[in-house]
Amino acid sequence: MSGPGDLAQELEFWRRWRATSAEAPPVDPMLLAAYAEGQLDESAAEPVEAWLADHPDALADIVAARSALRAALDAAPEPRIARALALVARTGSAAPLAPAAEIVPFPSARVARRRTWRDAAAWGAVAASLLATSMFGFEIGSNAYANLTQPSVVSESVAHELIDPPSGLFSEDDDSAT
Amino acid sequence: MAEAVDLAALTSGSKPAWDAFVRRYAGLVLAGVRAVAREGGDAEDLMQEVFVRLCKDDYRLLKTYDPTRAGLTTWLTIVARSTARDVLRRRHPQVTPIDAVPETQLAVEDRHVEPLKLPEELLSPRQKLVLTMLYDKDMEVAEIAAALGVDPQTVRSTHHKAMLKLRQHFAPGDGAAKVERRG
Repeated sequence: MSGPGDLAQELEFWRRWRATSAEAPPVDPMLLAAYAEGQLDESAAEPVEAWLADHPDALADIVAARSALRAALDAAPEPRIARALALVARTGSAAPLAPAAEIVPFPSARVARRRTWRDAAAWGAVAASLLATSMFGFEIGSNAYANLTQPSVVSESVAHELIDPPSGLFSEDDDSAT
Repeated sequence: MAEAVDLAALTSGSKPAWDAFVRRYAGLVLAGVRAVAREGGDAEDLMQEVFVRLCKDDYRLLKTYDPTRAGLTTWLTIVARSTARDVLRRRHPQVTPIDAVPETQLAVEDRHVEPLKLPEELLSPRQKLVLTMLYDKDMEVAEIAAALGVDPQTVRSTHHKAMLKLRQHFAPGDGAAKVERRG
């Protein structure tokens, strides 16, 4: 680690040099992409590095581009994709920007929230019915087991409840069949 | 990510090619701008700005892409992030209130200062870049090495040689200066 005195002097030298050096010419995205992939030799990389030194924010672009090669990316929301799709109206169109009438409008935030609540309610109803069914089935099973362990009180009503419970799960036609 | 994009069809205005391109890369573009955007709402608008930039003026920017030089994923990430930064800079120009600036920085000294002339090639671009990352961005050696795709020792060596040059230029009487390594 540099001592405080050394670091201060280094910073001073660096700032003096920085103040007088000319800014590097701009670099196009294709060259930056090639640099990010390590495709440039030392001499070709020099103008890129000179420009990056003057635009340190763009360094994060290089790191992000390398990460993007490895990362699995989530899909963009469908409404946003539709908006981008609408930029090109038809094949061979010389004007790539679609006329306003063909641009897919965004759903309003209120509609989006209502849709979310409806979906949540629907799934809640499904979950509630599954829970009720499982609880009822557990109750039947518990009763049947209790009755089976006490043979003296076993009666036809136990089997009858299993086949034709009084809650009305089975239709009246089943009653007439038995 | 497989990059089977028909660039010729895409840049000639083919609607199916454009649709396929958008569907394949919208997630990538959104991830790129999201990292730059200040809040979630901006990210999706910025995504649209990127696609506008790609197709405007008869796909001028998209036509500059050369698949023999780099992958489309890499190129799009860079385009997405730089576009997002440009848009945000136009929308929210950084303004520093005058009250936030120390008075010493506002002071005007009435003295003639001869501009310091330095040889352009005093520092190599790589040396300039390393010093920028060390002193201007306050990055650690390991971070710089990862960003540049080099060994940390290479970063230290580059820093050392750069500081030797600067020290020799600004303080030639110091003799053989020892620049202690950071990190």
